[in-house]
Amino acid sequence: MNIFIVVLFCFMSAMLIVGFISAKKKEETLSDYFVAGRQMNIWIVAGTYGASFMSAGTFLGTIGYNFAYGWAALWQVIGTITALFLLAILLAKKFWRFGYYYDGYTMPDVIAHRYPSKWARGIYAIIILTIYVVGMAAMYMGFYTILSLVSGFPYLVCVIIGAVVVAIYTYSGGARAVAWTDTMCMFVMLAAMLILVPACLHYSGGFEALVTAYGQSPIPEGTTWQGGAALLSKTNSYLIFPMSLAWFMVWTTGNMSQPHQVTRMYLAKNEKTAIGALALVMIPFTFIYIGGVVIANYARVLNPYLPRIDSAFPSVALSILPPLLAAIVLMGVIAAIISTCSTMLIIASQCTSYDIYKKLINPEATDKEVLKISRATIIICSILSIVIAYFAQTITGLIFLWSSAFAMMGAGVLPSLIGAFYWKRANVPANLSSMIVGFGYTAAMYLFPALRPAWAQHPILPGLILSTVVFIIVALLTKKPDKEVIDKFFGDNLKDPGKKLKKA
Amino acid sequence: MGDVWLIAGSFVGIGIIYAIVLTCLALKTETTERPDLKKKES
Repeated sequence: MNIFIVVLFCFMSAMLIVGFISAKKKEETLSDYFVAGRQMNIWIVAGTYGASFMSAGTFLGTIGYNFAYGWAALWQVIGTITALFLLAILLAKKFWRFGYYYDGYTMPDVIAHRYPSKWARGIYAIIILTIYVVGMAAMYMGFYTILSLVSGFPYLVCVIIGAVVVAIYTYSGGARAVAWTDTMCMFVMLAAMLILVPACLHYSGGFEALVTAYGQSPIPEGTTWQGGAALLSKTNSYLIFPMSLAWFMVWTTGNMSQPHQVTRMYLAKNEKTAIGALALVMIPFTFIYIGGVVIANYARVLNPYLPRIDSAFPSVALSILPPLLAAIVLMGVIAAIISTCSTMLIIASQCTSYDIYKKLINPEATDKEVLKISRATIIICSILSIVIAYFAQTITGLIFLWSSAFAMMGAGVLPSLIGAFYWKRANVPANLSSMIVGFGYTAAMYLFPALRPAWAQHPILPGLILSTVVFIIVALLTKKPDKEVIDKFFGDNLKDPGKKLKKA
Repeated sequence: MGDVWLIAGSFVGIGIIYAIVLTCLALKTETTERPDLKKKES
């Protein structure tokens, strides 16, 4: 019997059971289905945040990148954890209060309340919906990448297994089921790294021996490795200021504006829980990301001739661990994939049923109608992601699409998001123009690389700079926002309760 | 060799510092009263 299939079956069954149990606990209102009644404790918020954050990109893409770039990849770690830190410092409290006082469920909700315009909500919701359906397809292809290494399942069967399991528990339990299963996934991911990182250090003879062996590993002939010979120096030449700044900015700004991460704050039972959860997940995050660099370096020592860099993580697990442990470690990757997919699925369903249908098409719609549409969207989006994955067949194109979408989202939304809570002058024209310029210019740089300035290591940097400049100039040149809007975001509701009492 | 230890250590250190700062911030954060939760509990 194939031990990997047995472990996969147990894991998927456990996910469905946890999803069903958590779903049956509460009556169904929009608040229950979309934000778990805003009642989640610190452990669940930390779990759902961490698991939504980590995806196939973390375990396959990032570790593959680390395999190719070496120690310079540590800057990606600091950029990523800094995003988490800044989210906690700048947005967590305000986001939670906005959600509580104004029944906020989605990211377009924040934008539409602060910049009252149907266009802003509509454009943003459609962009999120499109990006997430493609994102889910990319994740399910990652699911196949893992399953194909350990089973003879055909491509489409692997994609369907992943999509159906995620759709079932998301459909039945909404945000509550997603939050609980995400937390379970987070523990599985942590367990995978706690097994594999010490194993890599053990087999390589310790950290110093690993660094030495990595520095001596060959560069495959005929392969253009980023960094060439310098890559194999101890700290390599990529640990330089422009590269560091670029990766720091890419990961910090990109992660701070992703709806499937930021909206996790709505689920917390209060502000303390929202911030505390980010503090709680910080150490596991740091460990997982730095552990990823260790695994990637060991993968290079073990087999510098890997045909595909994104198989660095599974190749190490399958090479050095006994089958049962390897199966558990590979479940860490599966956990990362399905937890991100379930969060993207619930966000896509919110965008359709709530942002587009209730807020733009039929404001009189009851909670029951919205939930029906939400569930129908879950089924349709799952089918669409299977169809996209089926026709794409190659993960490279989809990962490219997903990573470019990540950059566009960062460049297009971040100025409006920060401006919403921190700049009274920010207004509707500034929001719309900055979103259009940010998305548009970043997309154009991907389509026509000649548009990207030579100094820019990544399209998000010029995209973000331009959208921020446009945001500021347009806001200063146009009318101030209405007092009602300012009061909503800078008035008592978003202030600390102590300050309100003092004022009273 | 020491430089790699220094770099790796610094990154771990930043994670720990972030976690400590956020823990202090969470402890200091004032919470909004939730009468809606109390109603549901009772």
